[in-house]
Amino acid sequence: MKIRVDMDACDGHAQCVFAAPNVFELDGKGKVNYVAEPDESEREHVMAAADACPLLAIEIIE
Amino acid sequence: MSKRVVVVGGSLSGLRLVENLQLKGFEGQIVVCSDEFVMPYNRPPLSKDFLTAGTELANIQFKTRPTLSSADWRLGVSAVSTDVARSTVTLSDGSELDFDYLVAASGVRPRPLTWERNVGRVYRVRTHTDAERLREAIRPGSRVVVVGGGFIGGEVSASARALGAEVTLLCPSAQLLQPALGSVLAQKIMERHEEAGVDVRVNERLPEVNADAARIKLASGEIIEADVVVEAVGSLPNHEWLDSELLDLTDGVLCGNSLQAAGSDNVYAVGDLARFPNPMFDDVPRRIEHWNIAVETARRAAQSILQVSGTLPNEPGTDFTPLPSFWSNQYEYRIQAYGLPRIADRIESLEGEMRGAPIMGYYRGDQLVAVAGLDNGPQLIEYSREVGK
Repeated sequence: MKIRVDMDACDGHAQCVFAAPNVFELDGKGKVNYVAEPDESEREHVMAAADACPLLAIEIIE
Repeated sequence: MSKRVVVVGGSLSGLRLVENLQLKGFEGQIVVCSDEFVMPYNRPPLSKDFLTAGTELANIQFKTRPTLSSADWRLGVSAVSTDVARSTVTLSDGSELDFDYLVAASGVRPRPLTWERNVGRVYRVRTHTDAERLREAIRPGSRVVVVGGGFIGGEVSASARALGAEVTLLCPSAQLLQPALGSVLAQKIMERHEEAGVDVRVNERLPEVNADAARIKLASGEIIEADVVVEAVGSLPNHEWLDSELLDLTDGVLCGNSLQAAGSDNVYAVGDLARFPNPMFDDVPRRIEHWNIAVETARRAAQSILQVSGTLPNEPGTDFTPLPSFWSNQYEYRIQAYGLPRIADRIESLEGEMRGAPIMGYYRGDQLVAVAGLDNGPQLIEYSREVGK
């Protein structure tokens, strides 16, 4: 699967880190680092992460 | 026979519930009634960018999945009453709907103050129309009085200053923010408001009766003249339409850990309305008005419905233990908290207090029940992992 995070919108709330820790982590500046093409087995976690982002910054492309 | 879920309330929690049901293959009918006339939108910007940057409604509406349109969205329609024993709900358009499962997602409304005169000057921030009305009213030089020192009150004050208004913030408690967050964070935010030119009054009793919204008389006798008055003194649950004979509506809807309402076997509550126990802390049911709890309770209630309807195997589930998370943007600060500060019996500085970026720990006995800080750095996230342990 492929995802994209709007880094201008990301404000480091970390909800995605809690929902999908294998895909998202916070960098030292309060923004997220992420795996752009996570394994398909992560799909449910990534969807939960997208649902949980207060800035609505996570887009699942495919 | 196809099952029908009726969702009352079309905001974040109702939306996420519907999405989760559809995602997991619920094949019945889904009806959503919303007293708003538009599809769900994100409320946090309403007291911030939406006021200051002229944001359009379309920019804050949730992106919806294509499947969502297969649900029956009845906009501008609220629920009037329910009969849980008969499993029916009566709507404001006069129709009556049978349900197999009912989800109460009707949230909260701002708690109104009592005004005798000039009520046209009184504003609140809950819906997009509230915020549109407020931003049209605030002009450079407007005299804005914000009643309430919590997150919304602080955010609206900062936004009104950004719009060039003269702002007085009347805070009924001794400090800004939530009293449970303690004095260190509150003091920093208060200093920042004052630096921005907001006239902050703490311990200010609220105007309650015989109040004139154009001329607000304080307990000291001083009179503050106002062009715009913003009520931000907390909220009331929208549960009047529910059946108080069978359900416990003491404060929202009393639920078990599965979000099933006590007193029924087919009614669920989600979001701001749900009063549920969180075993991360204890077995006391609490209502939690946080954005992330709206999302988490929706997912859990959907899971419950999917299981009892036979869509998913009805296996004993794990405990529902969401970590409450909440925040407030005021000026360049983001107050960020994880956990339940209100149940703490002591507050300790974890670090940074002297350096200007404090992180506070909230303890009940030896248990860390919350952490909060004025930044969003990785340290706070690391501390958050210890909450509830």
